[in-house]
Amino acid sequence: MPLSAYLIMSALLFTIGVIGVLIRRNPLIIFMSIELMLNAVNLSFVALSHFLDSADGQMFVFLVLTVAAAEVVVGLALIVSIYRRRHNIDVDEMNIMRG
Amino acid sequence: MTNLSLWVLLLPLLGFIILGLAGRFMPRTAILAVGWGACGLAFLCAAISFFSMLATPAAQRTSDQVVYHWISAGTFSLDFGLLLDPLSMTMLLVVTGVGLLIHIYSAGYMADDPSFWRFFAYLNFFIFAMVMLVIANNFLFLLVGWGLVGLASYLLIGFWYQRRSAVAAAQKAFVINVIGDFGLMLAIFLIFQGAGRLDYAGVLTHTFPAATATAIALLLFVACAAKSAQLPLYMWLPDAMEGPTPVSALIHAATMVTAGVYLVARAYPLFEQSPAALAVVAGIGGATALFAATIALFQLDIKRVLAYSTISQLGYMFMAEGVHNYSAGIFHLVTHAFFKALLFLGAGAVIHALAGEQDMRKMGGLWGRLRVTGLTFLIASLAISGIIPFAGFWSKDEILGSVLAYGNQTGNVWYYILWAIGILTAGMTAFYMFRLFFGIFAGDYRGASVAVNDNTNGDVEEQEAAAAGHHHAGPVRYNSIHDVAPVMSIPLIILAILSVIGGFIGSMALFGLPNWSPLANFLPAAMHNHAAEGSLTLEWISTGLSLLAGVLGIGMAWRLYGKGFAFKQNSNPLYQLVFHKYYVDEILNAVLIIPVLALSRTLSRYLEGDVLDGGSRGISTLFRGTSTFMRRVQTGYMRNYALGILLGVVVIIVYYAVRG
Amino acid sequence: MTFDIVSFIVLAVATTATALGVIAFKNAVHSALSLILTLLFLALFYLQLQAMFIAVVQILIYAGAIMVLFLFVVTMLAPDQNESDLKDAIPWQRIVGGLLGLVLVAALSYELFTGAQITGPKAAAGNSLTQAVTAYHGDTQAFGMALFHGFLFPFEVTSLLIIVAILGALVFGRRAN
Repeated sequence: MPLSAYLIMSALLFTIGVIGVLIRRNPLIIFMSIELMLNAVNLSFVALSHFLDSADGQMFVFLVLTVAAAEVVVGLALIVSIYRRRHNIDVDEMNIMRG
Repeated sequence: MTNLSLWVLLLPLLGFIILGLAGRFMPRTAILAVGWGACGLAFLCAAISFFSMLATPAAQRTSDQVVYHWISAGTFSLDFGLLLDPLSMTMLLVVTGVGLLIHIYSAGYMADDPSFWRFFAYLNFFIFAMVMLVIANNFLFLLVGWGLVGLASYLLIGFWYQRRSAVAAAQKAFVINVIGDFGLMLAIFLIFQGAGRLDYAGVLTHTFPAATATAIALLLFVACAAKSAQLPLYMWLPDAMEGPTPVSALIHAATMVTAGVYLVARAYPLFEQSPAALAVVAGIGGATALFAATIALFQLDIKRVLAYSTISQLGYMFMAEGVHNYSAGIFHLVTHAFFKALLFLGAGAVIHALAGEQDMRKMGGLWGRLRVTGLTFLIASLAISGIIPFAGFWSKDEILGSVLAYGNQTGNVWYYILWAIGILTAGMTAFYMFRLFFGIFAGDYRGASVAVNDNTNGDVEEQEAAAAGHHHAGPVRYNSIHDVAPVMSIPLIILAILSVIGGFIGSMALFGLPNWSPLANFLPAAMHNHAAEGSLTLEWISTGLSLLAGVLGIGMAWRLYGKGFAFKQNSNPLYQLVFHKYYVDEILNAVLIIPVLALSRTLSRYLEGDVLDGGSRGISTLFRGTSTFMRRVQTGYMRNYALGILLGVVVIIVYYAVRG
Repeated sequence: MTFDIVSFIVLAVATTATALGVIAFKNAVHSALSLILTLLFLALFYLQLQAMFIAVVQILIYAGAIMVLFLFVVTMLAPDQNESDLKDAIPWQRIVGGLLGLVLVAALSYELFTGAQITGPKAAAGNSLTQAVTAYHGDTQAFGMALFHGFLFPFEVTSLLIIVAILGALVFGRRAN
C-alpha cells in the first residue's frame, strides 16, 4: 500500500475526531474524540516512520502515548470534580465566560 | 570675596517647601518664623556678600560660580551657575530687602486671612523665583526664573480665588506674561543659533550680525515690555491690583516688574549692538511714561492710581536705558522700589483701616487718624514727585539729564521730545500723586456721608473689595479708624527713611561732588560710560525744569484738592477718554475678545458639537455596533469556539491545496 | 489483489466504522467500547507497518489502561444520562461542523494524492540506532536502545509530565475543603 493511503486514513480518523468534538456535548465523548485525533496522528507517524525507514516517528508515538495518558488523567479528574460541583457535565452548561 | 548667593537662592525655596507642605498645620508664629526667617536669612546672606564685595577690588567683583553641570553634549554645555556681580548684587539687595519688609508688613495685613500660610508660602516662592532670575548666569535659567516669577505673580494675583475678578486678572496677567516669555524664548533661540552658547560670559562678549542683534534685542524687549508692563503689554498690571496689597507692593511695584529693566541692563552689550533697538526701548519707555501718567490723573481707585504710576515710572527706567545710561535705569529702579513699595504699603494701611475700601471718594480727612501712614505716604509722594532731596529726585534727575545730554550729543530732535515728555510726565506725576494724597488725607471724611453714584465708573471695585478676609463691611465710622499696628508701621518707617536718603547713592556731580556716585561706581563702568556727558548748564536746565514741573504739579493738586477731594462728573470728551483709560479695555474687548469668544462659541457649537462630538459619538456607535455583532461570536459554548479553530485549519489547508 | 491491499481495505473500513461509532453512539459506554475497537484496529495497522513494539504498547496502554479509566468514569457519572434529552443550543453547529469536516478530508486527500510521493526508503533520514529499529521490524531491544540513547531527555521530561499529571489529578479529585 502506498504511504498516501495510510495518511488519508489518518486524515479521515482525525476529521471524525474533530467532528466528534464539535457536535457532542458529553465531555467524556469529547475526550474520546480527542483520543481519536491523537491516534490519527500516531498512525501518520508510524506510517511515515515505516516509509522513511527511520524509527524517529515511533519515538514520537511513544511520547504521544504518555502525553495522552497524562491528559486523560487530568481531564477525567476535571470532569469528576465538575460533576461533583454541578451534577451535570453538559459542556454547553459551562458557559460562564459568555460574552 | 564671600559669596553666599547660593543660600540667597535656596533659603526662600526651603521656606516655600516647608510652608507649602506643612504650613497648613503650623501655628501662625511658626509660619511667620519660617516665612520671615527664610527671607530674612536670605537678606542677611545677600548683605554679607555685599559687604564682602565692597571690600574686594573692583576688578575682582564678578563671581561666576558653577553649581551643577546640567547638560553636556559635544561642544555645547550648559551649567546651572550663579553670576554674582555688582548688578545682580544690587538686585539681590533690593529683592530680599524690600521683600523682607513686605514679609513683615504682611503679617499684620493678612492677619485675618484664613490662608495665612499659603500667602507666606507664595511670598517665599516669589523671592526664590526672583533671585533665580537675577542670579542665573545664563539665559536658560534666566528664562526659568522669568517663568517662575510669572507663576508667582499669577498665584498671588489670584490669591483670593473666590473672587471672579481676581481669577480673571490672574489669567490676564499670565497670558500677557506668556507673550513675553515667548519673546524671550525666541530671543534665546536666536542667541543660541548665533553664539552657540547661552551663558552670559560667552553671549555678551559675542558680536552678532547687525540684523540678528536687532532681532535679539527687540525680542528681549518684548519680554521686558510684558514683564515690566510697557506699551502695548501693560494691561495686566492695573488688573493685578486684585491681589492683596502687599503683593502689589512687592511684585507689581518694587521687584518683579523691574525684571525687564534688569534684563536690559544685564544684556546691554546686545542692545549696544543695535541702535535701532535702543531707540525703540527709549521711545516705548517715554510713550509709556506719558500714557500711563495721563490715565493715573483721574483714577478713583487708590491702588489703580499707584499701578498706573508704576507703569509710568518703569517707562522712565527704560528711557534711561534707551539712551545708554543703564546705571541710571538701575538707580531709578532702586529708589522706585523704596518709595513705590512705601506708597503701596501706605495705601494698604489705608485700605486696612477702612476695612477694604479702595475708592478715593469715600476717604478724606484721614490725616487726623492715620498719622504714621499719612506722614510716610507724604514722604513717598514727595519722593516720586521728584522733590529735592528725596530719593526720586536724584534718580529722575539723572535720567532726564542724560536724555537731554544724549539729544544734545546726537542732535536728534526726537530725544529732545523725549526729554520734554519726561518733564511733562514729572509734572503730571506730582499732580496725580498729590491728588491722591489730598484725596486720602485732606478735607473731611466722606466715607459715612457720601452716597456714591455707582455707575460713574464702571470698574471702581465696590464688588471686588469683598475679599476673603477683607470683606468690605460698609463705611467705617471716622472715630473708629485706627492707625496700623507696629508690625505694619515699622516697615513703613524704614521705607520712608530709605525714600529720603536712598537718592544719595546716586551722582552728586551737580552739587559739587564730582567723585561721589556710589551706585554708578559700584555697577560696571561699561554700564554708563556709553551715556552722553552733558555740560553742567544742560544738567541744571534739566534739573530746574523737572523740579519746577514737580512743584507746579503739587501746587495744582493743592489748589484743586487741598481742601479735600470732590468727585465731579465731567463731560469733556478728552476727560472721558482719559478717565476710561483710553478705552483700551473696551477696544480690546471689541476687537479681540468678542470676536474670539464668538468664534469659540461657533466652534464650540459646530466643530465641537457636531464634528468632534459627532465624530466621537459616531466612533462609539461604530464600536458598539461591531461589538454587538462580534459579541454574538462569543456564544460561551466551548465547542463553538472549537468550530472556529476548525474553520481556521480548513482555510489554511484549502489555501495550500488550491495553491498546489 | 495481494493480502496487503485486502487487509488494508478491511482494516480501513472497520476502523472508520468504529470511529464513527465513537461519535455517533448516544450512550457513552457504547462510545467507549467502540473506541476500544478502533484502538485495536489501529494496533493492527501498526503491525502491518512493522512497528511491533508500538502495536503492543497501543494495546496495553490505550486499550488496556486508558480505556479502563474511561469506562470507570463513564459508569461512575450517570451512565444512562442521555444527551439528546436536552435541546441542542446551537443546532447549526452540527451541519457546519460536518461540512467543514468534509472539506477538510477532501482538501487533505487532494493534497496527499497530488503532493510529492514518498515511494521508497530514504536512508538519509534518522541515525543508525533508529534505522536499526526498522531493520529489525520494530524489535523491542532495538527500540529501547534508540529510546535511551537518542531520546533520553524527552523520555525523562515525559516522566516529569506524568508526575505532574498525577499530582493534578489528586488536587482535582480532592473534595472541597
